[in-house]
Amino acid sequence: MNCTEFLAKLTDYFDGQIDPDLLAEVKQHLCTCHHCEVVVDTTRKTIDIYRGHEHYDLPEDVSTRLRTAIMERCKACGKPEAATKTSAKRRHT
Amino acid sequence: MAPTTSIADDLLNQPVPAVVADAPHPDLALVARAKAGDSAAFEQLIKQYERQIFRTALHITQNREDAEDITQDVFFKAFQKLNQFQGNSKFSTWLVRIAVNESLMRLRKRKTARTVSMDQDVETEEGAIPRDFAEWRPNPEQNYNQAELAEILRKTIAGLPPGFRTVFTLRDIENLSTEETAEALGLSVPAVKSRLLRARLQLRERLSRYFRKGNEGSK
Repeated sequence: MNCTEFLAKLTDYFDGQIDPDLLAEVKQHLCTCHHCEVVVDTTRKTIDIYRGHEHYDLPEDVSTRLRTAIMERCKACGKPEAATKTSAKRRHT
Repeated sequence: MAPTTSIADDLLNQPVPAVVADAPHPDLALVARAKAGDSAAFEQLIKQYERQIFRTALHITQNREDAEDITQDVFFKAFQKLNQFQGNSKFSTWLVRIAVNESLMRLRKRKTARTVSMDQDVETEEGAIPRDFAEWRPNPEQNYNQAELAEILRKTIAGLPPGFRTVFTLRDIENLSTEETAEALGLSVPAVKSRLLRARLQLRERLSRYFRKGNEGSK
């Protein structure tokens, strides 16, 4: 496995969606290629830092204000629209 | 030397939670009650997902006022179209899909001279191939205080093209699965994987300026 082939498998490797034979090849490549080892380590740290950091908090007062506004709009328009035959066939529901 | 175990290896070492097979998602009962006119049930759904929808909208638009407006619009549209939700996907994924569409529409309005879509700038070659092979400090974020780190992360992700930023946000920050991300964005699973790789590599490359060994003195 060369670096380009390794890179093509990187997403599956991080997501644990790689079959055992390929995983052995990936690990073998990592043992011999310091550049790819650094890429794996620093990419993992990139993901961990973003996951571990609180992004864009929604303060409680803003949350309450938004929820109140949403509920008022919903109450003003009554019940949800009835599903039509077309909408019931929509793919992403 | 950096560890070379995969995330799959890490997961295998964790205790396996008990899973109830085919248990209906609790949201389905709330949705059914909301469809029947129970406003408290719909308010509960808002409480559960308003933060996720707000964060998603803010990541895409990079504008807090827009994100607040979008959060309102998403839940109002969801309420109006509630009877179209058949439960074939998670309710949260359905909401995220609406939020992504609303957010991209908002970006288009803001940039009237440019088309903004999930495909914008995804053909760029930037970050497709790693160029920076410097190792990072063991705990790179510790060199910055919380405000500095927040600004670095915000600036770095804001620099990604919207198509990459959205995939990274849903997959790596909001923890949607690859399949859920594909469904929410109307993309194929291979397209999500490809964009996720590019997004991760571009972020890594940009963060390396701050976190690499040897630049402890330069903030």
